[in-house]
Amino acid sequence: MSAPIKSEQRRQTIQAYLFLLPALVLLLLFSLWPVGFGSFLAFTDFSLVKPLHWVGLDNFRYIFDNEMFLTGIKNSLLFLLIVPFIQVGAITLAVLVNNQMHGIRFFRAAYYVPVVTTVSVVGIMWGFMFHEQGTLNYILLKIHAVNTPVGWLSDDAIAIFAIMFVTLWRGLGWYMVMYLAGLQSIPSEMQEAAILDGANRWQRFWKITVPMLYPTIMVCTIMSVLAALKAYQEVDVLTQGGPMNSTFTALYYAYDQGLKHLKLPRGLASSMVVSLFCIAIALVCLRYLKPKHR
Amino acid sequence: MKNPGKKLGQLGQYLLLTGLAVLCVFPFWWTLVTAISTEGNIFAFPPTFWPQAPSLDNFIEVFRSIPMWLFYRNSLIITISTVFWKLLVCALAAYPLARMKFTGSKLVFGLIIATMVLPSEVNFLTNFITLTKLGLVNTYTGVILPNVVNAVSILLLKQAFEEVPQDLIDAARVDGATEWIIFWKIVLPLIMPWLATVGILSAVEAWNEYIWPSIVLSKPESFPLSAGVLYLRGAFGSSTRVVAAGTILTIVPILIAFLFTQRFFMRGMDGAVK
Amino acid sequence: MAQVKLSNIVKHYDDGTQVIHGIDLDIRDGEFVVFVGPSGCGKSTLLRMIAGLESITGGELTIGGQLANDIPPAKRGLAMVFQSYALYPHMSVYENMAFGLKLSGMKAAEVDSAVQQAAGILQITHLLKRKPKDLSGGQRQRVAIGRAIVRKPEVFLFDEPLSNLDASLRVQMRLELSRLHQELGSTMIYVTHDQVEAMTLGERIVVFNGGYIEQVGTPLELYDRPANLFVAGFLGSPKMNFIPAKVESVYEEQVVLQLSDGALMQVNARSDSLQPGEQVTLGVRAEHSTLTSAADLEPNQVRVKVALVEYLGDSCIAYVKIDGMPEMISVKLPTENVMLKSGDAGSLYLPANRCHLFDSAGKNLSP
Repeated sequence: MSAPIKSEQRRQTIQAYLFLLPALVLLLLFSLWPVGFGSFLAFTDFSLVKPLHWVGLDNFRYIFDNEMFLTGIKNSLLFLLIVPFIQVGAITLAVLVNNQMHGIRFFRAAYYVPVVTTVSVVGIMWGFMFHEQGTLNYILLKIHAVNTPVGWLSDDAIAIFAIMFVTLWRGLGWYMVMYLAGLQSIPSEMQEAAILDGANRWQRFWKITVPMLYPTIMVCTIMSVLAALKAYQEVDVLTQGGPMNSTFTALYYAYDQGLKHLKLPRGLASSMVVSLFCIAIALVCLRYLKPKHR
Repeated sequence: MKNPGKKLGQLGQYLLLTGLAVLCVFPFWWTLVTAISTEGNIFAFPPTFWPQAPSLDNFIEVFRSIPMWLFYRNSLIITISTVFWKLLVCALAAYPLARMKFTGSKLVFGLIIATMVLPSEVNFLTNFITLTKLGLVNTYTGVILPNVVNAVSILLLKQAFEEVPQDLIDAARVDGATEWIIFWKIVLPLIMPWLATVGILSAVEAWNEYIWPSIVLSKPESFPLSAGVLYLRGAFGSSTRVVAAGTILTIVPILIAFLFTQRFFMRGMDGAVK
Repeated sequence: MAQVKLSNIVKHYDDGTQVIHGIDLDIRDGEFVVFVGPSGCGKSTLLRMIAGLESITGGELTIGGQLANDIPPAKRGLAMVFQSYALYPHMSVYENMAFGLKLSGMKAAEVDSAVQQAAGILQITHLLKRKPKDLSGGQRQRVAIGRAIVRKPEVFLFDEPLSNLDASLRVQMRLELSRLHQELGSTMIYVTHDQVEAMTLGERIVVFNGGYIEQVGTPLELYDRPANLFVAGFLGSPKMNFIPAKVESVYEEQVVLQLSDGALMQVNARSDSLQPGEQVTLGVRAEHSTLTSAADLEPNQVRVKVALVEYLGDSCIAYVKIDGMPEMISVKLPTENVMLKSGDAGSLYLPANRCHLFDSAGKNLSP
């Protein structure tokens, strides 16, 4: 890029910050300040009705003693199981739709529809599907896969997995689009050269496609991991934490405590725990999954 | 390649694609069927997969029981405002990062990336407190403001600006244009496709968001559709059909919008993943 | 006075690499100067520094008598034509040309007459309503030039404007540019890596290499009296022949050289710095040597063998080899009396007054 003359540089700096001003103000106010202030509040007994007192680690002690929060941590970690499934599924879908077949655009849209649907609506729909007398059980009974209706959302051992499935269902299309973009940026000449060299589809996939997709895979995996740790919306619309508090996730606990019961400091404490986790994971991923530069 | 073999392979592919599509689309189909039917008990065995005595009664009932038009209006206001301000602010921020050299650019860029790593959902609580202090609780401004700056949008638009050839900007500088003029008259018109893509993505996000609006807004009449539709479930727990109808009415607008603009969007994502 | 003066212009990048080393240059008002040199020699960078698109780390740039180092590009009284034309794709030709004028606050009527006038000079009036994507390469080129003309600048800057055009169009545009210069009489600084363009367009040529000026002069000066090996080898096609030789004996104003096969050549040169036994280079252009089939050697002739012959239609180029020298020597000959074929033996005559002598550092020692 060109290096402008000195006074021009000064002028550019001032102008640049004028351009950036609205974004920076909003960023500071709503993205960065909350992190600092929220962390501070986690150590207090903040409430909208009482004056503020410092309470140190009290909130943290409370939540780590609390069964709901602990279940939440366990479930959030459980959610990480989705990551490999969703990535593999998305890559598969992307490969399947990366062609010019007739009507392929229709299929791409169909796979993406779950992503654009409002979460609240997703909750209602899958609520129907997972109902004890609902569609899923009907099909399973019809094909004799089970003998009695399964309590997908009412059985505390299964409910969390039902929710995880919905998250997977919603996310496939989103990652499919990312991978599709990645696939389409692979120059066709590489594939053509490989064909001439005699490589079959399988070999081409593993030797050319996957290595060239590596940056995309890395980005998507990190995003997927972070998203899994932060899952809470599906819980809210499907089970609200039940049955018997078995479907709490860490962040859902934060949301539940903070906004539904207005115990803001506890909510902030638990979200701080989640944040730290996310940062740690992000750093680990960045260090060990750095794409090799060609 | 033998022709019959190829045809068979293609058929197989179509079958696979259709199967997966069915899995993705099935809940919608079922909901639609339920909403359109007026007879038969959905929770009886066996549930039916085809409309029984189709009519629009359930839909009309939805409009009668909850203020749907009001919700539609609210959603529209929130979505359009969010998209407008978001595009404006993020484009303004992306341009200097893409095409201007200034002190501190690396720091600013790092800050923006940092917000992507930190879970933003976490900020709901503190942002609510901030809004309280600013007196913006229960206003649409309060709903929109935190969503106006978005790291992903800035990144996508930065990418878009970087695709504009530097020569054009140099020529404009020699022609005497200030950065402001270059931004509005030269660069912005050239990234229209990207603006459309980011705009659509933002619109979908804004339309579908339900938690933040329900936190900020206290009066149900001001709720957007995404939050308002949940009332149906509470009020009509027993009338699944009406709830189903409400669901359909919520997602149909966004699905239509999405299907129409899909070709921009899928193509626009090219090059966004680097 | 719209002359451009560069005094000890220097440029470093932020990481310390120096790309321009102390350039001194005086460009006269109304002159057509060509900056020429291989890729990466710094000519484009220097042009951009004059334009104000790159910063000047050290030295003084004076335009029209005024110190211009810190003046923003638009206020230097310049216009620039880019290699990629840099036409605004979403604007029509008219709007492209009017853009800069409108920015300076000119009234619509004045803008219109300026655009129409420039369009007339370049014969693109019929294209004013079109968009750049609907134009051919040559037409886009003209619009780019038109955009520059319209601002009535003191100095025109051209950054390799013809390199994106095909060969025949390039020849045509070269003539147009010459005509333009005659008509407008403005100072023009033209950057190219093509030595044919340099020779045909420039009133003076500045040869750059690695951030230094190798030589400044008129085309013929540079062609007939290159200051060093680099300039000698850069201008002229086919390239000047460089024959390695050893100094045999030194006289006043004359040197005798021994070639790889032992043949002796007499060359006019300033001999003060030379010692017998030194390695030097003898340079001779393809059109200055002659080839005969004579078996006996006369003075300043050397035995050669023909390697191959290229026929150009009006002339032909024979590539011959001297025993002991790996490179071939090109000789330009008229087509008529040549029936040479590969493998033929002959003798190459190198006239003493047409040869250049370059010392081991590459400097030209011709008188």
